[in-house]
Amino acid sequence: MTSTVSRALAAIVGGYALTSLLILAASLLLPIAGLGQAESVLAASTAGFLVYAGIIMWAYHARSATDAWRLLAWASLPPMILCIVFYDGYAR
Amino acid sequence: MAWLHTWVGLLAGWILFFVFLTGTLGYVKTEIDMWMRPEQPANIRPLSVDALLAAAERRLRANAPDALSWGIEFPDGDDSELVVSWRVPSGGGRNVGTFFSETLDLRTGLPIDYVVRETGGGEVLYAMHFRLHYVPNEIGVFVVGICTMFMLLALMTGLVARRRLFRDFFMFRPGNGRRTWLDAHVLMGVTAFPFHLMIAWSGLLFHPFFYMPVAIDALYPAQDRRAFLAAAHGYGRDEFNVNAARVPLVPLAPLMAIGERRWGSGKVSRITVGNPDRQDARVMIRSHRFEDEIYFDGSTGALIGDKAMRQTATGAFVAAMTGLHVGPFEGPLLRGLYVMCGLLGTATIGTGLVLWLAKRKARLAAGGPTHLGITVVDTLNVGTIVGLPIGIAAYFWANRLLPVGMEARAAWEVHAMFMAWGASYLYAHWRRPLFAWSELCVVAAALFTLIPFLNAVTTDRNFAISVTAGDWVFAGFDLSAIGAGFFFAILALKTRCSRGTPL
Repeated sequence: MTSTVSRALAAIVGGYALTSLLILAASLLLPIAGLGQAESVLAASTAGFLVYAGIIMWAYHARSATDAWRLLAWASLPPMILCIVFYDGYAR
Repeated sequence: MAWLHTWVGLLAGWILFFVFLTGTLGYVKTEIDMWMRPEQPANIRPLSVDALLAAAERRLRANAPDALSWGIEFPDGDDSELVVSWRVPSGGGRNVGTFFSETLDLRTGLPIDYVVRETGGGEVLYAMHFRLHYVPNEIGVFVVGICTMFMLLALMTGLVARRRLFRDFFMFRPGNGRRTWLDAHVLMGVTAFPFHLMIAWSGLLFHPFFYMPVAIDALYPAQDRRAFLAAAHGYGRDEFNVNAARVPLVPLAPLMAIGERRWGSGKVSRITVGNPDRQDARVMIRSHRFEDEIYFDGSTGALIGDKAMRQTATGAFVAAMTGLHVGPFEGPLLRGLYVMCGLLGTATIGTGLVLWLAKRKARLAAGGPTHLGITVVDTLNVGTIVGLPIGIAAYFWANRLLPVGMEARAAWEVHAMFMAWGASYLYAHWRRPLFAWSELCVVAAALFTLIPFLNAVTTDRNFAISVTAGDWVFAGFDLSAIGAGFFFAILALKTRCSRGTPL
């Protein structure tokens, strides 16, 4: 029971957090690749839904709930670092 | 993944069933609108487009010579009316104003002289599928969004759960109880799979930032999204100066002709004039169902540009996806396909819900009393799968039976729908789902089959008259109602035996 709840939370809440980080990181990186800022935000957020679904499935694919949390935490690191490095307030 | 598919499907299933059925009816909402407004004349001979445009302009000049903006909405499909609208200053900021509109008769170009009953029509039924009813908009959109996300997940996990998809697809084993229903579930789900995937994803793209706000919140201030909307989608109203010098508006007919040359005759759906009769006036001409727009300088008639000029590639992609969701296609064949896919989706969800139960019932049958959860799911299943259609039938019945002058008539049509639907749950609970299945199916069959008769006694447009007059909206509605009635009659027979569920 606990592991069912834990895994569901990892998938839904943790997955949403990771998706959000990936969306923000992509929104910050795509302009470097030459896309406009607004378009980058739209593209990243639009793709975010499919990414979220994929992450939820990934969390359910993990061997255990603890494993799912651990994978999510590790996967969050790169986008988190990118966000910290590249985020610079509102777009101008 | 099969486990995830099962539980995600069950949790969102009932709401998704509602969303799918009312959304599918949205593809024929214009037709439902017309059926629910029987006072509107059918099969009329409209004036020429030029005459209509002149009539609309005349009405706008007579009603609101000093308006902030004018709008002319041309009829869509078989619609028999043209709507002119205008905004006049209301003392607030520069671009706000009070909105008025007037409906014109296509035969005369004059305001309509018949009274149409107050009704929500197909529009209200369709709006329920994305914002529910009786709840604030944001809550409705939020709940539907979560269920849509669940659907996206159910589709993707369904794909993984059925790895031997191609083989399964050709494996239909009739007369085999639960296996047959599972085969049907897979067959229907797979047949329309691309449609479902498109519907789920694009459904979320109507409000992407409501569900995934992180990037836009971090990069654009919440109180002013104009810069974002302008850059990503090319939205944004032109800023007008209400005190600009008076310069007469160029004639609209030549501009409209440019639109018709571009998209084909009869394909202009809307003309909007910003700041008419002023130096900075703008004319926007939109094609049928939002596909394209062109902009003109209203004082010189010079072409300024088109939608493609304003939109980014991603913006165009999102617009194309939401466009696919709405189904902006003409021609009965494609629209029929959309309705077909929508019904297949509804049936896939319905069979999925029933399968969940059958599997667990089979497991329980070995011994012991029925689990409370099983009874609850059973009641919700029959109350939704058969009760919602009963509610929709009640909505149509209310449209014909409620007194025409009644106060809050449109609201009561909807109340009738939800009361009938709610009563189905109570009935299912009282009679036990065991008997409720076939008995409610009989009710649904009767309500739908009798709609043509109801229509014949409450209006002067019965089936024979409709067919003779070539009025295929009314005739088609009658036939569809009988088709739905026939479907529930068969379902009633199938569930008649004491086994309860249709399995």
